[in-house]
Amino acid sequence: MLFNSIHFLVFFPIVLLLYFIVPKKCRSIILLIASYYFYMSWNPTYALLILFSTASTFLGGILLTKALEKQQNKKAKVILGSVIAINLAILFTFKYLDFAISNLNAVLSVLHIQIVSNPFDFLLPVGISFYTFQALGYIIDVYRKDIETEKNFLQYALFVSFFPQLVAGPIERSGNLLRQIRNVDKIKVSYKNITNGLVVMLWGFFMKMVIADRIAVLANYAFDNYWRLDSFALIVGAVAFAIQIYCDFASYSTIAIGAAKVMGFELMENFNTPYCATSIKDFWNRWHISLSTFFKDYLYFPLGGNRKGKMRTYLNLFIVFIVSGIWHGANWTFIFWGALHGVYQIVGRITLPVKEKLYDKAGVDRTAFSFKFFKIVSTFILVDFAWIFFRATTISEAFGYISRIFTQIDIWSLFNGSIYELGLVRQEMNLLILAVVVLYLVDMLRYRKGLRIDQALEKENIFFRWLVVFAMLFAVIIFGAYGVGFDAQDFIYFQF
Amino acid sequence: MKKNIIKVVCFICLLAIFFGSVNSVFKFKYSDGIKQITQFYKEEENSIDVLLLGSSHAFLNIYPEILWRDFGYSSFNLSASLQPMWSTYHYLVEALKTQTPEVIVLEGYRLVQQSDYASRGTIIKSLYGMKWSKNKLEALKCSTYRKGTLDNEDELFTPAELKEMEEIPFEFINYHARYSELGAADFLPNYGNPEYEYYKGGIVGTSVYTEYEKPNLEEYNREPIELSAKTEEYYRKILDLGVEKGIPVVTVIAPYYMINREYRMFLSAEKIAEEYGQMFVNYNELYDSIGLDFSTDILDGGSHLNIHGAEKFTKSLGELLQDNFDLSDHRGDAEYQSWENGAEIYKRLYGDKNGLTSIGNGGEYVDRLLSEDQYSFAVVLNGTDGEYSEELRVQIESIFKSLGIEQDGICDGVWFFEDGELEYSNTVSEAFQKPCRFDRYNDVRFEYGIASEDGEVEDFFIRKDNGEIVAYDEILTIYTYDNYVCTHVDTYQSGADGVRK
Repeated sequence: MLFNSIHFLVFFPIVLLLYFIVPKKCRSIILLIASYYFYMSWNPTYALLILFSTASTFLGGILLTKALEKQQNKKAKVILGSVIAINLAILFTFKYLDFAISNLNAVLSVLHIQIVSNPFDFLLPVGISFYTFQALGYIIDVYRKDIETEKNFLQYALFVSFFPQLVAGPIERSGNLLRQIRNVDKIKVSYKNITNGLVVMLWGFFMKMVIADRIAVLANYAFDNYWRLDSFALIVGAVAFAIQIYCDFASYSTIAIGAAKVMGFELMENFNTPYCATSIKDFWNRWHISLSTFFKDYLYFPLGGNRKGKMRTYLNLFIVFIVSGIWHGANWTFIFWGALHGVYQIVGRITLPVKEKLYDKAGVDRTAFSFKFFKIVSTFILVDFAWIFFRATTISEAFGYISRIFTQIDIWSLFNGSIYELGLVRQEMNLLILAVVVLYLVDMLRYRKGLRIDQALEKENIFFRWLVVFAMLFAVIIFGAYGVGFDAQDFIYFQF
Repeated sequence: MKKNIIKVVCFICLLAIFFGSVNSVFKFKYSDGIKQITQFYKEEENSIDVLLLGSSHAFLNIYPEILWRDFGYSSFNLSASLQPMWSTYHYLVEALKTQTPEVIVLEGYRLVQQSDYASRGTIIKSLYGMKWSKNKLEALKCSTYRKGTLDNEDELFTPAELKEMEEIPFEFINYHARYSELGAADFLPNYGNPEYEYYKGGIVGTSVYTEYEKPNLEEYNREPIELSAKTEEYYRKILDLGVEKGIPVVTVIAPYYMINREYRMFLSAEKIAEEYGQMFVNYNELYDSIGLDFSTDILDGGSHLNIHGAEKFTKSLGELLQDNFDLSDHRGDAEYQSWENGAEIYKRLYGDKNGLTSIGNGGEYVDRLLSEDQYSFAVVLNGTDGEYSEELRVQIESIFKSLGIEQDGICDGVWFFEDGELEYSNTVSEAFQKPCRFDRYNDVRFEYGIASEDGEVEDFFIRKDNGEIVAYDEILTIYTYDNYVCTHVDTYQSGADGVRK
């Protein structure tokens, strides 16, 4: 069930109504049923996978605790290792087996050895990477004694399957979401939560339906036709994809956060004005925060983080970003994208002292707006350059795309109205530009004042608040990409 | 708490108002389906004596204006493009909620429908104009294919069509993207066109199609072919409903280029009508008796009649009703003024344009325009320094005299009159552009310069709002705008010989 579907438009109010009217003790059951219904609307059989993941980590947690209580640390480690291995094995089978076999075959064919075929033919279960990580995060937390072991299976099952963030994040931590679920009977129905949550959801729908699905046309046009396009169109396409993936992904998290808030839950923020980042490191503090902190806590630190010398730090960083690339999809393009970000970070760290010296010698004022602006722009260029690998279907396509940007320069296209010939007619293009300006303004609220849209509106008078809400609402229902004539796009991150 | 409830109620009210306004602007306004039923709802209760039902063969071939003009019957053409029998049945149910017609005329061309489901476009045109009710829900359910009903649905529908069908009942989804095509008609009452105030559902086609010859029915096989089960079911429902309400249902097939297979299906339908003791007349068997000429009376591709053919057919239908039913002639009855007004609009827009097209003398033409205060017009003269006939000179002098134009002799120029008063004139042969507003929404511009692409001579001319240039290629042009119907209705042009073109 997509958020931007009639199905969800009916589903969500019904769930809300039930959630608010049933006795508070039954809330978690209602939410659990709703969450499984939500997930099963894609493919009922795959509910078994999430159920297995839930059961294995739940039981693992209990056994682990018992072992720890008895000071059987080795046994605890075995249990932890087994649960992680089983869950990762499932993830691997469904997500990476095809990729692994095709690469193996590529190697084997060079050696003239008979080709292996994939015994399974699975469709990728929606959101498998998200809930698997969430469940693994829990069992690691239990092992680290960061959270008390959950003994109520229904509550734990709800933690793994909580429908707002089930298929595309944020990847919640047990310390946050599980604790709230345990206290679900204490959550009060609040007018403020409901209205603020709805405003946040509305903003999410605006990002997805007005911006992401419209700008996707530009990105798709550029990437599908890169072999015949010139520099201007390709740069526009790359920038368009940067905005598309941000709006697409952040919109899902935003709708999830809003939907949870309506019910009184606080999910973690997943995006914090990522394109205002002044360095790649800063970018990863702002982009898909729930995943980057997951990797930091459960991979980078266990690898030793930056405590084992420079070289080891660089290696750890590189490993984390390679894994991040693999997490995003079974394709070399994602791995290359991850590796590129790893290289960015390592080079950034190595060159930092040199840059600092140069700035000092040149007398650069690091507090000046222009300095910050330059850093933001240069970071965006690096990030967007990497997005080309992320979006392209093969690495060679990405290099083809990039090489045409530098070889087929057509500066005149800036002036001759070519921008209106990239797949969006003039009216749609103008509408898109206007919507991106709105996005910029809302992001600036966050960047400069640290306020999310609902928090900012809360401070305003009712007339202005309602004016903004109605404007957003009608922008979505009129200009949203849905229904006949629009090919409603899946959220990009569903495939991860 | 109380304060919050008030806020929520206010918010919902405002939302309903805004959404209602947006919806009325965005909703489809097709002339071949939506406008008919939208207008039907505005009719006085129990005012319609002859209810016309059917598809485009109804609204393009039967003119309520002619049934009024020649017989005084109050009729309404409640039809929509390609409307299947089941939607026609639901239209009848809808119509009988507010009207008790003396007779129902069903144009039965769509009895040939084979498919059990209509396309998205057909459903929209037939059903989106209906008010929400149980009847509408049933009509939607009946027309729309429900996913999973048939095993072979993959062969019948594309995935996109299946998705479209799911979205059909959610009307706004289907037209929210119309923001790119909104025009004045979407915002203004009566679509910004006064003729719709008295609209009775018919559509006039004026083009002439000459490709087809009259089908030779004598060569046709007359073995009846059964109607599709669903079409027959609903045809019978229509007849049943007529019997139940005591209203005769006359099925007619309007003349068109009928193929043999369809003829055989109509023969089958005729038998069904006979079972119910109802009339069934296939006018394709009566080409000669109604005087239909396939070389002048056919519109677009042979499927429909143009104004010449439709007038003949409608008159013949009127006679049939006159001969078989005791219908009232409401002409002169003030309660039926809207039909009178509709007929007046028809007279002004089509045929002889209120008598204007039959006038062959410029002077008389202007006198006619001045005799009614409904006209605005521009007189354009070009090339008056050249040679032309005495006849034309007399006509122009007569025009000048009638209009009170005081000139030293005849000269080129443009004169614009509104309600008989001179609003603007220019006789100086220098480049100029003068916008002139005939009414709120129709602009023209008077100009001087080279009008034709290959021309070298400069002329006075009129540029229409669509960019088209008129009134430069003859010595005398009178460009006439009818304020009653708010549109340009006629152009009088005469060359050097003084004879109307």
